Amino acid sequence: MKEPMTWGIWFGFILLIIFLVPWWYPADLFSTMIFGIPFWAFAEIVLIVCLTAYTYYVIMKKWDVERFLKD
Amino acid sequence: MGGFALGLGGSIFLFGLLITMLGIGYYSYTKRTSESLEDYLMANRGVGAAILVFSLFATQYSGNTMIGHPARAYRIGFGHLQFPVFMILVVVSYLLFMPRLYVLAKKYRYITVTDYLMDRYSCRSLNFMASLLMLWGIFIQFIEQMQATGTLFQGVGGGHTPYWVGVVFLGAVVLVYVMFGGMRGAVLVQAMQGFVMLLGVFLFVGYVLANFGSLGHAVSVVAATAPQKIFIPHDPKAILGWFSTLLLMGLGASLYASSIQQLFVAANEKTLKASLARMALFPLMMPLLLVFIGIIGAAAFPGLGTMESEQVVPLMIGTMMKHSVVSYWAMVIVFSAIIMATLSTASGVLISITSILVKDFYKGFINQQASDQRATLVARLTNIVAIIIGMLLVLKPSATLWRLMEIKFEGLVQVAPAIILGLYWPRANKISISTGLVVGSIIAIGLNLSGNPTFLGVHAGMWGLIANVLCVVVLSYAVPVTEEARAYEARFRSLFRTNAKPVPGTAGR
Repeated sequence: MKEPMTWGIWFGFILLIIFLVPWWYPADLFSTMIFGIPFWAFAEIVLIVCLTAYTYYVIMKKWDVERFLKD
Repeated sequence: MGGFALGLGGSIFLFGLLITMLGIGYYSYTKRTSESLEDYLMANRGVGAAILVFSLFATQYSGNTMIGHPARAYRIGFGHLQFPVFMILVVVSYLLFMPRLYVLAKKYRYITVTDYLMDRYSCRSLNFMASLLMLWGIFIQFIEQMQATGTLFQGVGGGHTPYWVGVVFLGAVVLVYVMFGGMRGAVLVQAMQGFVMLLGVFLFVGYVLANFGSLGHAVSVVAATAPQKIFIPHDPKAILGWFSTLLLMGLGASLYASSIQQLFVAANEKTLKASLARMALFPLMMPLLLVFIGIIGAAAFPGLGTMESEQVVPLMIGTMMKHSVVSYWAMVIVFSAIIMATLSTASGVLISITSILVKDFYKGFINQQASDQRATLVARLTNIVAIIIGMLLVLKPSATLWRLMEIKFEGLVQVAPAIILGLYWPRANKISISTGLVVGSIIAIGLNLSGNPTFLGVHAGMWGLIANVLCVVVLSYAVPVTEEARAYEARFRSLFRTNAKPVPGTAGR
């Protein structure tokens, strides 16, 4: 049986959420542009993709309960 | 809805879609296997992944998603990248409780999430408070959709259709397919609506890029006129507020009773996981793109005030509609997608309002001995009552109602400890959970109503939740372990042994 409620898995989520809030960008990088959008927004989008991928992975690979349950 | 008129062709297309929905509602009615709550409210728990994923998509994203969020991105720019993040966090929040709650719901035949709370804590007053908070959350959601139908439908008649026509006409369509089709009808119609919505969003994004220029171009225009929308400031209060918004919206939206009930109808865990995993992908396809559209709108239609900016999507649709016959029809699909988004959310919420009213209030307090057949009849009729109350409130709105509408998530998140701690922590008991719920709700709602929706940038609901959890933890340790905890061990916790072996014959599930 695998449940997603483990410290390791949630450490990953908490880390991603902490960096998804834009407090950590150095002031000089804040107004830098990359691919036509500000660096901070670009980093934010990359992190959003990472959060999606991680969530997808946890749901599909770290969750397996029903078949262990007796009726 | 200012900005455009749908025209005759578009109106016929939209009416065709509405008639199809009624047809699906009738088809679902003929497919019922028995006159029971299990069939009517849960579609016999047999919904497959392909239908469930589109139906979840359709209910989770409302008309407000397609109009209100680009408008917000218009006003605050890239700061609204919060939107795709908290929509993923809704799915992440499900991971806190669905893996256990789903199997319990299937084993003990829960229909609403409050069925679980009653089973876990055996406390009618706790159940009443939780039902009230959850009912409030989804009822507000329902009112918002009813209101949107009125505004949207005004666009069908070129702005000449009175507001009430849309509320009554589209409300009646939803009522008919939910009343007859029940959960089966609702999810089948939502699957169709979800497909039209996805098509609409992709068409809209494609046409916006072709007609109003790229995101990079929009960024350079907006950076020159309103740089605060592109380079958001480093401000500790804003940072705390950002955290608070992500957590409040992510956790709050996962606790919509309607969404949880819809997850309960999954045929098996594999279906549920496949649907939720795809739900995690949708924010990249819809919210993220809608934020970009808002920023492109800010470059194309600069200088709109707060209320005017709410019309940025209709303005874009109206502009593109006039370009050619092909773009007219593309925009007809986009407009239909917005109507579908509104109706799908309304229907998902309506069936859940009915479920709570019948399961928790009618069968809980009014007629505990009601037969399944009678309860189903009451459920069908409750839909009518719910929709009439909704219509009356929307057609004669009061200032107090709008004030209370702003705080739906603040109350909803207070139910989180009851659900989550109840699943994992044997010490959580009815005294600690009830006290936490009351204290959290008083702080969240009290701070809001006294004119302090945030403190240090953090939402009142989050302060309430912190107090709620503290109460639960302290009181759970203070109250001695009782019979309740031992019953919990046998009924709930013993099911989830990490060293359990798969039950033979279930490998393919």
